[in-house]
Amino acid sequence: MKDDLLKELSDSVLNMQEEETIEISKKCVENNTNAYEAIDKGLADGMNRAGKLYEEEEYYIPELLLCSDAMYSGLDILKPHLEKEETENKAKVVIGVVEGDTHDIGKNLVKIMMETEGLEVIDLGRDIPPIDFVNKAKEVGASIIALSTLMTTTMDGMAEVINLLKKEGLKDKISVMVGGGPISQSFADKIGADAYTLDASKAAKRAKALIKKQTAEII
Amino acid sequence: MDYEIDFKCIINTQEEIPEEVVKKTGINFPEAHTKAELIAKLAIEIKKFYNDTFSMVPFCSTVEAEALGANIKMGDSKIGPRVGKYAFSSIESLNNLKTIDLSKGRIAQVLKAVEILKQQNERVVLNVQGPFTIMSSLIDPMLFYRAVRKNKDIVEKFMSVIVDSIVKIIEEGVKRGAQIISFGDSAGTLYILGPKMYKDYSGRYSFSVLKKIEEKLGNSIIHLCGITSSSMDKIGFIKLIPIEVDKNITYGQAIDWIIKERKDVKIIGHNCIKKSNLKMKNPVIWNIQI
Repeated sequence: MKDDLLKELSDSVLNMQEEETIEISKKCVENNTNAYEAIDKGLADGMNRAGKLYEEEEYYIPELLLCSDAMYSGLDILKPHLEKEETENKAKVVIGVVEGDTHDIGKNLVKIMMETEGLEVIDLGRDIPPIDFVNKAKEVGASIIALSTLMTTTMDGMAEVINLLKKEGLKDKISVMVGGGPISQSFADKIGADAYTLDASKAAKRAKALIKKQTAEII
Repeated sequence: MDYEIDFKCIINTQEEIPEEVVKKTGINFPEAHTKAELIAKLAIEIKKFYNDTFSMVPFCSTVEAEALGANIKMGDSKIGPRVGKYAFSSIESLNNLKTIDLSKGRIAQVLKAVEILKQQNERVVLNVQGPFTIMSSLIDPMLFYRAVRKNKDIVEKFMSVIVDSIVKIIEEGVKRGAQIISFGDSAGTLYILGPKMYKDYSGRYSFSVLKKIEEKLGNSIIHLCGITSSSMDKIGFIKLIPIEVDKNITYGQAIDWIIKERKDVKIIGHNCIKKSNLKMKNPVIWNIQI
């Protein structure tokens, strides 16, 4: 019965059914289904399946965004029922689009996939000055700053974030990930970024790997 | 001869206004984006800097959206105009979009700049953004995708106002003397939207613009951005016919030749207008039929 409910939840996210996702999420609460399991094996599972369809070119950006709408609606219902420990101690990522650029669909998708992977994402939005990334990361104790841009004119802002981190002696503590149309591995290497990824799914998985590495290094 | 039909967009730094040009003209930003005389002066200097055939205006992709109500942050010489807060935030509010007023604001100045350049015997390119690009400067695209599911009628009305406004801009640009209308819808391509959404929405709107404007171009032509023409070709909205040209001339010179010698050709493209100062690897102009 529980497994059926989780499968239904996953399907309703995959099928972009916001109302249905809300209904099933409420059912989960009524049935005392573990909220974390419902989120992980239901909502996030549906989103991951959507991500695979995107890689297979069955789903495109509109579909992914509508799936995420359904997922977030479900999350609104289930999040208040999480056990306290399940909400704390999530690694934090500060994400945003670099100053001068307002293209944010890619950044939004990365945020969705990172949250699906269990990371807490603080989204600064678009057109963000470099110093704001650093200040926010310090404020929330972020492990990663993730930078996005679709324009060549704003790529310098990414290098600026890294320089600011170096100046404050934080470059070892906070990893920097970059992505976007004009970005490449060689650009990432040139500016000293810790990772460059091609799409949202890869970004989310790479972020988890970076955090694992950071944790291992502390130990 | 086999011509490479697949177009690849190579994002290049010609989006920036060269620092040398900024220094030489002594023009301040954001003023440079807001006064016809400065826009015209800058366009000529940029043309000279790149050794180009054409003067191109405007220098950003926000003029049309601004005239339709978008909030635009004007920026400086390094970071140009871009969208601030979205102008419409609910599906119902989309009903409030009014057709463009060309007599006010930056759009009026850009059109005046076209006139000034024409009077100085410049060959003028007017850059015009496509329906989806304008839409995503007015509203969060997420709102569009939601609205498409919940209230198609409001979406159709909203987009038809945008389509009609684009047609108005192009008509006026042609009247003021632009020889080339450079048209592209980079936010609304097949690759982003997928075949269904592209065919039912974005592609259909761009096609509608071309259909409405085709007979009103006079001696001017439309240059269709390569990403836009690729999408339209793949879905079947257009047909691409190669015209061989001299291989020792630049793309811009080839376009000029088409305008002068091939009056039957009204829409070209499947290439990047920003390559107009370069010699062509493939000496072909793509005639586009709708």
